[in-house]
Amino acid sequence: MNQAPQRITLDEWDDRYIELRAAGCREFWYGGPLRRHVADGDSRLLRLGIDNSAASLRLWNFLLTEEDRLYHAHSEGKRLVGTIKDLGTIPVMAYSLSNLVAFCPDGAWWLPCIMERNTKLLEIADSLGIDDSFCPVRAMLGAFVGEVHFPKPSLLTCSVGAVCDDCSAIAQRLAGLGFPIVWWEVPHRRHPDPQEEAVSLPGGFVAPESQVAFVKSELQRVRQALEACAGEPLTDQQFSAGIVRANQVRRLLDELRQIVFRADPCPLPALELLIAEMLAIHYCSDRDETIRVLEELLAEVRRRVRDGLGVLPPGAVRIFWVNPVADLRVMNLLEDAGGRLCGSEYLFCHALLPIPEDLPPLDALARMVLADPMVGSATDRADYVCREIRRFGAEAVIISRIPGASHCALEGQIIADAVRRQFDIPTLEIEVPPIADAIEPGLRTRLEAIVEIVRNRTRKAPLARKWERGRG
Amino acid sequence: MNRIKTLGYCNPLVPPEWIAAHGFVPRWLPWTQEPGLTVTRLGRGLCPFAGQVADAVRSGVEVDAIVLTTTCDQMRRIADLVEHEVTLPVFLANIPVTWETETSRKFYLEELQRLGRWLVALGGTAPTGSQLASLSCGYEEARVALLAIRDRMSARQFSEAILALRSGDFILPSPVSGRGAGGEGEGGQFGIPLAILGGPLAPQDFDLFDLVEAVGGRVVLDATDAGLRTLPAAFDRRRMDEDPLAALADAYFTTIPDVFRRPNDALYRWLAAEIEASGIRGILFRRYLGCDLWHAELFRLKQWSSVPLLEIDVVGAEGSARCRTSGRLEAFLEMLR
Repeated sequence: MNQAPQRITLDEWDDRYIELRAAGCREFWYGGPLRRHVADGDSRLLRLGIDNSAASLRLWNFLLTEEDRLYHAHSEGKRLVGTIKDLGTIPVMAYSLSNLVAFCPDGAWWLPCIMERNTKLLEIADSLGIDDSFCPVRAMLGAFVGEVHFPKPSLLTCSVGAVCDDCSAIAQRLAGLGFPIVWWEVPHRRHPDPQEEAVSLPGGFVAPESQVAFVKSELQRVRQALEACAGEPLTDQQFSAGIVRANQVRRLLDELRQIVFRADPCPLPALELLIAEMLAIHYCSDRDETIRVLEELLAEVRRRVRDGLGVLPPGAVRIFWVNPVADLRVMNLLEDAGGRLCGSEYLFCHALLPIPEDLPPLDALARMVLADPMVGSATDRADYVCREIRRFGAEAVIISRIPGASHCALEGQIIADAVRRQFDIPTLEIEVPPIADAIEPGLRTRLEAIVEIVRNRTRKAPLARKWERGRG
Repeated sequence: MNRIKTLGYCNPLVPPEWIAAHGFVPRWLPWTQEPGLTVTRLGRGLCPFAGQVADAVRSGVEVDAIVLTTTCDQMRRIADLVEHEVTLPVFLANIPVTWETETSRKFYLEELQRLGRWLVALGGTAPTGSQLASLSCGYEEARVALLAIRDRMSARQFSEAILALRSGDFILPSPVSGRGAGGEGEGGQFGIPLAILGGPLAPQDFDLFDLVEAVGGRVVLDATDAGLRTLPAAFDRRRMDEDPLAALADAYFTTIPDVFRRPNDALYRWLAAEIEASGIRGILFRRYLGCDLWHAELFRLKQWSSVPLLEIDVVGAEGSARCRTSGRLEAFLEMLR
């Protein structure tokens, strides 16, 4: 049963699944061979290299059965809350109430990748005038209008203000189509003026106290909407317990990231780590199961590190990755090119930070909202990236633009400039569409080039030092 | 202050009265048509307007400080860029997107207060209540006077007057006779009445009004950022006496309908009323490529509007744009005849 850790194809997974089952691998209600998801339309799996562990099987099955969970929860009479564009905030509150299930409808932006042409979400968006000049989040509009992929939520919330225009504009279109939305505002985080009271936020940013108070009042409105939806009040005690559970998820992810980014050889592929991080946003609609999935994945990674095993050869070039990729396959391409993940900022790194447990819950959550690197300046975000590069020793940075995304026109340059000012490491800006097959040769070349640049530098560095010593 | 300083801004939710009350000359930011950031970044989704503002600031526009706003993601990020590249002081005003709650209104008011402190730090003088009230009422009188003769002004004249009002050099223009008159072409006062709707309209783009008249139309409703839509409603005079800044904030924040607002229903309500009142027969929908906020409304507007709508997309300083727009306008007006 114990194969060496590696990425395998779906065909290889067919045999691997039989092998794991024969060896007594425990399955869960959402378990089964990965192949069945292809029959459900998730055809991108055929083009992905997937980690061969039982823990990854569970992770993938958990991810790809969210739709079933949402319909099941709906049929059981639970109230569904669609939380648009908050990436890990409102779900913390919603899951504190026992009869609410929160999910992020904007997560539909990965469906055109996972399902390739089997889903017509982008075509529906096109037909409503939301064409490919918008970022792939437009798939959300298709999902609502086509009434596929999730049941109609009882409540929709959407954070606006310091967010990308694509999501805000598309959410407004949803409202125009008759989907009522509770809008709540996240102000652009600014540096406190000298005379202003400042608040330290999780992750190291600072915000004026007045902004924290404002966000608190906005969250209070959302809290009331959630209570009305649930038909019961959310006590501070329940809320605090929800924060403790959220922190459990975040601590597991923190440990997972720390081990994976530091260990050599790399114990977990970039793709599985990305999926694991995504669970922090809304727990893939089941918070308790998220914790169990992550515990198993962490145990697998610990075991591999203990045994000196990895999915990549030792010495892979250490890459920091900025922004999520619309096509998951690109995470495979990075590793094929000789790179490995050594730090990431997928737009929701604040959802990985522990929420303060020693503060009133609303206060704590308001601080989390403002800790989001995306609500501040691109310079702040660049600072965060630089801190993480220093922490994990990245040797290069890849900034992955999201096609059509309003923030991607300029921030890449600001981040790359900041990185170059602080570190003598190469940066690369690429753009990744939902299906990158057509540009794969070019992408592959560029990824190989940045890996080669780092390798050349590493090779030259000892020689240069020797030469310097010789001169001395 | 050694000399009167000029402060550049380009969003109608920044009240020029408040800038002027601190001893600065407000100046609606001109922007360049020179190829710069706009051209190199368009392919990455940069809004040409945002790029042109950045280019203007980088190329040394004659202002002493700049106020930008958070009303769209791209302008918010332009503030980041120019802060690093130019030595001019930059103030990024947080304009709430939500507008129906008391906390949002309060937040906007507090941003104006913060802007005031920043202006004082730049060498301005904080106005007394009566100074602000007096100045604000002066601006309002100018707006009222302008609106009173609007029917006798050409669209270009009206937009130029608003620009002058926002730039602190307003003189009530001598109107030409007849609504929408003044065009040299087939349009003039007898042209087909149209509305123009969209975001910012640069002074050099006022040629569009002439172009419309040249092909037999006339713009009787300018619903871009340069026109009627973005003028604040009349001040609450009693409030102005008691708390002039709050009265100013209320007039600007609660009455200007815009596409970035959430929800943005007020924009549709305002538009419906104005279309009804103006007898408009067609809408010119002008949007910058890369502007998601206006672009996303296009389809909804087409379904909502009782009159036909023509989309005019703007790339920037593109040589062929005028010919292309002219051809499309001509076809649109032929259809309306």
